[in-house]
Amino acid sequence: MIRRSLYVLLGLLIVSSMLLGACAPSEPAAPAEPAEPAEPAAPAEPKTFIFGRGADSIQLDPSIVTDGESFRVTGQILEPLYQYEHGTTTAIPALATGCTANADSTEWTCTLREGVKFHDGTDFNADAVIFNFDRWKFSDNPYHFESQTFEYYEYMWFGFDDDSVIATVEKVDDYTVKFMLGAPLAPFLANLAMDMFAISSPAAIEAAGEDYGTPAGGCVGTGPFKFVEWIEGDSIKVEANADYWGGAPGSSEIIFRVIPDDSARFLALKAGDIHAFEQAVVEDLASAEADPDLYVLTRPALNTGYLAFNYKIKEFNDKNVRLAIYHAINRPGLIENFYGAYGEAAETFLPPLIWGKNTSITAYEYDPDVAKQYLADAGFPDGLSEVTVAEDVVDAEGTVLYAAGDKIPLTLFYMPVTRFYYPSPEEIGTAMAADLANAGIIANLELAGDWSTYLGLRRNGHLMGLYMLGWGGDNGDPDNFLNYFFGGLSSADEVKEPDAREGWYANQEVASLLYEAAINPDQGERTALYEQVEQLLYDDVARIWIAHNNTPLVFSSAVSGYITQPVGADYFEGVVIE
Amino acid sequence: MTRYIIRRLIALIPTLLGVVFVIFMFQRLIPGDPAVAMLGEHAAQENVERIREQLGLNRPAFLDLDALREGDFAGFVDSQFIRYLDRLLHADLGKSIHRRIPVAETLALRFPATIELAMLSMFIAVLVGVPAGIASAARRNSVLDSVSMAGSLIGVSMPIFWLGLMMIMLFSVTLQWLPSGGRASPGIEIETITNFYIIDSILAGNMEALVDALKHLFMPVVALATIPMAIITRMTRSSMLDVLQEDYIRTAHAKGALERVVLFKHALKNAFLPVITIIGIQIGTLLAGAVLTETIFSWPGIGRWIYDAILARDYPIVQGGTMLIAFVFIFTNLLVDISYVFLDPRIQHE
Repeated sequence: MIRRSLYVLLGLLIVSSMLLGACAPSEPAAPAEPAEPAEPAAPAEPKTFIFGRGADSIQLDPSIVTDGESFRVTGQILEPLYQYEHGTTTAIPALATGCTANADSTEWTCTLREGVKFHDGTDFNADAVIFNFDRWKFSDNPYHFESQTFEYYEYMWFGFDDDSVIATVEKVDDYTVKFMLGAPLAPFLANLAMDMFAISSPAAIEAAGEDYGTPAGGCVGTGPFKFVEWIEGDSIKVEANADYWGGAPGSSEIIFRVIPDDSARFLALKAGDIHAFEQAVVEDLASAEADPDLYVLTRPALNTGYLAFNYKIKEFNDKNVRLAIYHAINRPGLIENFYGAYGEAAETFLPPLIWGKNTSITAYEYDPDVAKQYLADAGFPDGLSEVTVAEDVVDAEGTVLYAAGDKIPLTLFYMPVTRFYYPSPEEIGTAMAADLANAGIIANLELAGDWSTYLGLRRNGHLMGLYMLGWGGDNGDPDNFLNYFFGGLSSADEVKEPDAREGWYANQEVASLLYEAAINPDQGERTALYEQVEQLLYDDVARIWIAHNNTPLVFSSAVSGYITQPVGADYFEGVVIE
Repeated sequence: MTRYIIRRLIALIPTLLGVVFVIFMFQRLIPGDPAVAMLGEHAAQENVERIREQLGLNRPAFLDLDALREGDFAGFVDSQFIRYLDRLLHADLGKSIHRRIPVAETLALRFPATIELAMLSMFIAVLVGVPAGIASAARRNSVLDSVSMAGSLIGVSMPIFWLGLMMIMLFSVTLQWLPSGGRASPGIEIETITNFYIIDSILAGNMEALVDALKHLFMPVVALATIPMAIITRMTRSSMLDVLQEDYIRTAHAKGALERVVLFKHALKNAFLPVITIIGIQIGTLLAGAVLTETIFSWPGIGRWIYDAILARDYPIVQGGTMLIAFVFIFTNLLVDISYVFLDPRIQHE
């Protein structure tokens, strides 16, 4: 009996020690400066580069998808007319050798790179460019399939058919095309450089039809790598294009492996099963930085996490209340605790990387006492926990969800999913609610539903309180940040209506300036306009800008030559495996 | 028996229809919109409406009563559910909303991966669980029994994600014996015939691929087998203990029958009915519940696929995937019911 008890005790001890070992916190290593990769070696034979990622691509036809994992792959296979300069947001020629505009920037003439062939052997020329733009633009084009949604074309070029700002794309000769625009469009080249406007082989689209971009159809471009195989949910393999116009790439092939679990991805790297990955958890980053066999690179932030006001709440229309909330949020504390060395406090909406940012602005500082003073000035010396509905809020059927005059608890809605601009939304939301409480503002923390529900509520202006969200830039142009949120006018004299999607915020002066900037081809003048817009948004305390987050990527020390891109897909062609 | 089997197979049809209806209904009850999930932060009202129309989501879920009031019978029945049933009758599971890939195509690829994992896990669970349960019962209150019961308790309560990560750390990172995840190593070419990699590599006579497939299977199979193994061990033990107290067992002992004969011939056959039932249920659980194992070991099966589809409101995937799981579950339980007759001839399905 005693012996048996001893066995049981011993067993329990072993299990407990295993559990304790697993639960023990890892040594909190101070995040070091990202180590520089070793100088690219010149290997005798290029090797396979294996990249681990959290999810599979949706499709490999970039014109019909919006997810980064699709662009990560298509960015290696297909190329746009322009691309972003390595490591920057500056648009530089790619398949085009250059584009010139007329005086009012409504005509853009682009010369194309000669002698380039698609991976299927067909020629890249003006016909191929026109085929792709026509396919995206015209809803009755035989390859603009009913089941496909060309969301980015519609979004960046203002619609399909006659609505599109691209009136026509004309062939001047085999290697020259002219884009005729319906209105001046300042970010034209930045738009052209987006991954979704990469040029596919017309012959491949004609052959594959609706299967183009699927695992069965793959995709065919002119890029440094050629599509080989897609095992859904497992991996995508591409091989080097030895005839690439920019020179043969440094790896013989790339395998994009799906490893959904963050910790498992890190262990796969440690085991040598992959060479690099993105989306590491904080503990693993600390471990990676301390490991001589690994190094960390960061993708510069082109994103902003924010806390928005719903202006259908009466109290939020009082600037003093907005100022009180701004001063109550401990943004440096949030950065330190949830973003670590990879985050930076946002002073304005535009990330530091983007031109047009008003660098003279310093955000309202964290000070609970100042917050309490503003709250008292607004008529709430005893704090704020209940707010008033300013106007009826109705759903699509006209049912009143919130009636004007209703008193509702002050609510802070936090995001249900992790996004790059909010790495731990629930924890950050909890910390913000605690900061607010410290200044006498009692906000209920609420999960409004899953991501799709949350976005739907936000879109309809139904998140009645403070709500967390953010934005990741698409093309590195300030228009893509500011005009999307606060502009959207289609003429200079249009009246800016309160936008449900933006918490019913409307600022006519801001919207008019943004329209002016969107049609002005002069970057210097645009810069001044965007700086003015940022000042106006700051003065109006339109929204609380929280953080910009640099994205870390972890690499095996065998990898060199990887370039992280702030916008667009990373460039893999320079990657060399020792 | 044949009539019974035919009757049960026919009964599958209304059951599956019920499953289709329930899954369809519950999906529509969950708030959220596939169009919004697709567009993300870019969602603009007009884009959402256009995509909803393209996907047929602007139609009523079941029946359009407004159309009926206007005397439009075609419009009355033109609902999402009727459209789905119509496609189903034409053996069309539809296309993924987000990926525009036929659901059947992806199922053909992913379902064998899950089946391969689940069946091997169940095989291991039975192979270890049943003998351990028998031994525990036969040596009740012995050290063996205590170890076996403590082991099964740990097995039941062990979080799969923790066990999985610990195994990867040990076998992949430290010892470098096994791959950390996936189904095959880069460079290993497996000619896919059935999409069961073990079978395909045997059919192709490719020993290298077979060894590689087995290496990839080892950790996920062990992780997934842990819970059913523990449950089967405990169920076998308790069922055996009940039977071993029966009079006919005492009689067998009194007649001088060997312990081995008493255990395996007289006791086990009678004790096995509840164990078989549990095995049947556990197969369904393994199929539907492999999501954690598939996530940790990057196993491209249907568990993770359906889970992601639920979050993205990709209705055709959720419907197709869950219907297949329901079918396998119901079919497995039919086999379990049939097996009762062979284990205990007193049970007559007629």
